[in-house]
Amino acid sequence: MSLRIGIIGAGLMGEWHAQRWQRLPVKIAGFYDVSPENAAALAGKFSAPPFASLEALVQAADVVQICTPSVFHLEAVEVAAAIGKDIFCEKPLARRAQDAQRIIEVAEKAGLRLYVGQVLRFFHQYRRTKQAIDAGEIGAPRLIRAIRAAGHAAELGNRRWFADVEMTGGVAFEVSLHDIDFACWCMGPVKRILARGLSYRDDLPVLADHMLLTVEFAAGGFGHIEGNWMVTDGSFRQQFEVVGDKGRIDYDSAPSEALYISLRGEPDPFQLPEETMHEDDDPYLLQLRHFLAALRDDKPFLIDPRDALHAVQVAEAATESMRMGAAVDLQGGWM
Amino acid sequence: MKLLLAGSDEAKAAAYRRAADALGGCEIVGQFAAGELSQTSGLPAALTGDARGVIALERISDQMIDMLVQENARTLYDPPIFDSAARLLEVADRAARNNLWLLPVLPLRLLPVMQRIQEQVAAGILGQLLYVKLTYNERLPAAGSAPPGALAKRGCDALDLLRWLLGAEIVDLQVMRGSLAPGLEDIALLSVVLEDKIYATLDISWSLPRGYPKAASITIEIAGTHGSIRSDALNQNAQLYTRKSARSLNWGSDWHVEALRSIKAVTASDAPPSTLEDLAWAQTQVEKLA
Repeated sequence: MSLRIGIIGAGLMGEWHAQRWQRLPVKIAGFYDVSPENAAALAGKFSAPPFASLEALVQAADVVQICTPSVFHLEAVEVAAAIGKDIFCEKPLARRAQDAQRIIEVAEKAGLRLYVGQVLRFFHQYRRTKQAIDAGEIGAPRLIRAIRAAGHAAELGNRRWFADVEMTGGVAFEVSLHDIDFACWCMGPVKRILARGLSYRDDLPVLADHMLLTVEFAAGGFGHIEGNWMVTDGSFRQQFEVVGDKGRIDYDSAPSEALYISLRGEPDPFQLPEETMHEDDDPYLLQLRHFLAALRDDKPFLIDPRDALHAVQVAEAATESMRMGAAVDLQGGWM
Repeated sequence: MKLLLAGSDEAKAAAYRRAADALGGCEIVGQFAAGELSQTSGLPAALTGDARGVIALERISDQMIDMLVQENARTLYDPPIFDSAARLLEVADRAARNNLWLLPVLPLRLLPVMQRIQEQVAAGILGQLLYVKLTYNERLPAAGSAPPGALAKRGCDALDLLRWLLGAEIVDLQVMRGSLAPGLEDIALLSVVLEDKIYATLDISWSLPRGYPKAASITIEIAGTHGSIRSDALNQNAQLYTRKSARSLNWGSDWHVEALRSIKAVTASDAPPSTLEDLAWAQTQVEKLA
């Protein structure tokens, strides 16, 4: 019998993953969303039932996939743990580090597998770079720079909640967390950071729209990470340089795009890059394949939940650093 | 799927072996000289089972066709240079009469980015099509291995791509040819007019110097009344620099992988993504320019 996937959160990521689940030998058990209309819409689209309660969906599934805003991740994990279902949790693991820690504790106490969807590790340019580093091609990595810039995700479909930075944490959590995780994947945990940033609106509780983050790694080496979600024309860009003692690896999506489409009319406020890979090589699909294989074979996930916790810790520390205007030390790296 | 290499082009054989490893689900079980293979009593015992194929790295003889038909082996056809248009149509006819699945490897169509472009053009997002610019540039082939010229080598691929992407027929075709390297025709600038007054230039050359970081560069721009599509098809890469060298870390641009993907997933009723008839049409255009 096919593994049954229960999708919690019927927004953009719930739909995104459902499209990929359809290409795998699993069954979508159904959808739950705090908005019954959203759940019903995806349920109709994917021929799976909507559920009126979170508990009912979790009961009906073998594995749950949490695709809600990160402030709701802990609640969903607690329900999944109480009922006893393995978990795929979208990133960030939680809005706050203490909740991320709690999620790990809950899952471990219940004896459940917990995977965190830090999908950048499955994007080909990032995977190839990590492979080259692990093969020693640039020696020991000593410096990393990364940029991630786009239009504001609140412009994308029904994601108006992105404008609520109390809910999202702003650019540190929703944009730069990808590059924070990549940097730590290459260079180990962070021990010290200093962040500067700004918000374009005066009434926000955190500096949320642009960030320049400098980091010092516990094993030595430094990094600079920029996050921006107020790009005027909405165009997307990701870039990195990893410098080792024997070489460097450069990537920039701006000159490295294989396909660019430009149409007359108003610029799209949020433009994702054009798809240029074969659909079998889609990173989100590769991530789901990895998740299923690791469950089936009882192998470790590519992303340890503690990696995900550390990424949240760094993002939280960056927010605090921006607020204080001072450097923040992270104690102990990974916990 | 189990595959046999028929031919002695070692560089191409190595590329297909790497592609099989990268793709998974495909295994190259042996390599024979094409003439040797067609004289055997059948495919080697290692190539058994329902899912099996042959990658023909040289031109296909009648004996080879008979063997492929007898063994019901799906075939990729990837020689250094294709047959004449007349011969291609003979082979196509024989293959069709015997239900032989045969895919001529026209690399440009196989690239996922080109398939995305074709989908967008077919969906009409550009409005009325206006013009196309295609460049297909490579390094000079190794001494002693060069086919008759850049046009003979890549002209079929470029012309087929143009016709397939636009869904339009050519009404006028002219060429300017030249040499960068002595004694070699390594530049061909094709000027094309298609139906609905669409015009195009196809710039085919072996003009990349040895030190160029990539072995090939394929770019295309398609303009219409509503906008444009621009692609640097082999540009998905990061750059790795060391004290001694520079190289690209590439992804998404290996047409050997895409050729194997085409043959791996096919069922008996699936038509090949390109046919010998398509190739014969393109070869006819190239022969007219000779």
